[in-house]
Amino acid sequence: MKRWQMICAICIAILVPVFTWVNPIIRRPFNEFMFTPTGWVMEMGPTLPSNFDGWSLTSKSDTAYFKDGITGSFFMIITPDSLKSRLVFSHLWERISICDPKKNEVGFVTYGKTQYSEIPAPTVSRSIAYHELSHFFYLDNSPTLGLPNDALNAMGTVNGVVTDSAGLPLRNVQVTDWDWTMTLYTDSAGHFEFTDYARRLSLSFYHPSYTSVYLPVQVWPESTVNLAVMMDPVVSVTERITERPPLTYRLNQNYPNPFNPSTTFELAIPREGEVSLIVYDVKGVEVERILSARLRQGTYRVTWSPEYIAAGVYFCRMIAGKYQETRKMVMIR
Amino acid sequence: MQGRIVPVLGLLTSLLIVARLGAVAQSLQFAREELTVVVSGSYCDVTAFYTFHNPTNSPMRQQLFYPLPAHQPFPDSLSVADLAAGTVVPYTVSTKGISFEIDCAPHTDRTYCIRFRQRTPQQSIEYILTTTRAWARPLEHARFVFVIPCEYALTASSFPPDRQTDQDGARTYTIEKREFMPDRDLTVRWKRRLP
Repeated sequence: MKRWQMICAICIAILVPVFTWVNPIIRRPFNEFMFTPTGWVMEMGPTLPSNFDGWSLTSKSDTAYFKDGITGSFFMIITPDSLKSRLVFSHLWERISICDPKKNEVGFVTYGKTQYSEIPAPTVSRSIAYHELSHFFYLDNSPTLGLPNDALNAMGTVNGVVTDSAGLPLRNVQVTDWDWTMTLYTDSAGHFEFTDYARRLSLSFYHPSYTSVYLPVQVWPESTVNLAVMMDPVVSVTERITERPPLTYRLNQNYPNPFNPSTTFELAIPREGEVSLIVYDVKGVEVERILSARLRQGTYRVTWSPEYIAAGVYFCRMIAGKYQETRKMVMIR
Repeated sequence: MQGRIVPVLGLLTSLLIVARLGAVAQSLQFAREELTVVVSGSYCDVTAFYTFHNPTNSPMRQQLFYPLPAHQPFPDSLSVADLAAGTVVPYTVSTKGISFEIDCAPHTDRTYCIRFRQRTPQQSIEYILTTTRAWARPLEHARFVFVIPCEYALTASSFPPDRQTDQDGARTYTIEKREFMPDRDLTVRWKRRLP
């Protein structure tokens, strides 16, 4: 598929059903950072002072002060030559901070396999770039040191299929990333695809009949990440083969009980008819209508995996014609 | 004699290592948050308290960015308040959100309150928590409260509620976390109950 066709397809798929707010973010002074065959280069953002006397760069194991007389400017470049001493730091995992003369950390970038890292360690010639408007770091295959960051060669594709636990494709699963620009739905083959900055995403997969899945995904520049996502149903009903068909209605005590995250009810239905299984809280307010279906004679197991109810005592009532039976159950967290 | 030299050498080596270590750099910390969302009809009233902590010996002034998704209409009303000073904080609006400056005295907490009202015709909201990673430390305490009228039922929540209480015809769901580094965002969906 040509690039413009792919962009059009993605644009068509974009829908915006979820309203989003975001935790506050602090602006970073780093604009771009990369390793070179001989060292490293750092580009600063626009929020730094005009004079760097007394300022320093720190890593987890070292501190190096700026040489005197360095003046700040938009997209200014810092190299090892800008510092009074060599800054020792890891290429694989690190937190590099810029500190003012009072040793206050004005900003930092955390990369690689270190706690709360935001971005993988950059390989040589690939940079960590800062998205100035949305304030996140991404990987860029074509660094623009000394110039504003762009998104060229910094996008990757996420491609996947969503299936149920039987391996059947699920359509109309809502796929949302942490950014507020992208929400799409799987097609009839359970397939979805989108492009995004090469950054860490937190994807959520939602379908009203299935338990939601949350998945962190690292997007890589000019690469495709393939995902296989399986979703379990919130309610699953299976008929149990028994030697003799049931002669009376019955709702067995659910098991496990107390439960988290799911519990199973066993129902006996002596003749075909409408059957409802309704969960109420202690005040008698309906919490969920687990089952409302016409079942033929038989014994059924109904597994319920609610992801949205608080811990507490609930009652499950089975209604089938004139038959009513209620069981008490406890949800624990 | 040798027994005394070894600990002294060890101490000197430790001091050298400490001297060589990166300065114990401290930055403004995002310490706590409390978000209350009151659903009423097709609107949500959002009140968010964000507490920042300055662990350093000098006052800190930082520019904070509060993203507001570009695809949705700007909130009907939005205000930022500094609770300690009791003042309204001016903010600048960009296409991606609002920015405002926060001031934090040495070794103190400063709480800012952001309030707004927004249309939510889709009966769902998403609150992005994974950006907390950009602060490089977990939140000491986070509380998310959703107040949903009783005629609506919660149908999904990416974090299971810890408590639910009923009052004045509305059900309040509370999610409470300590030392919280979110691995997912907070998504809440609701639907009108069947009559």
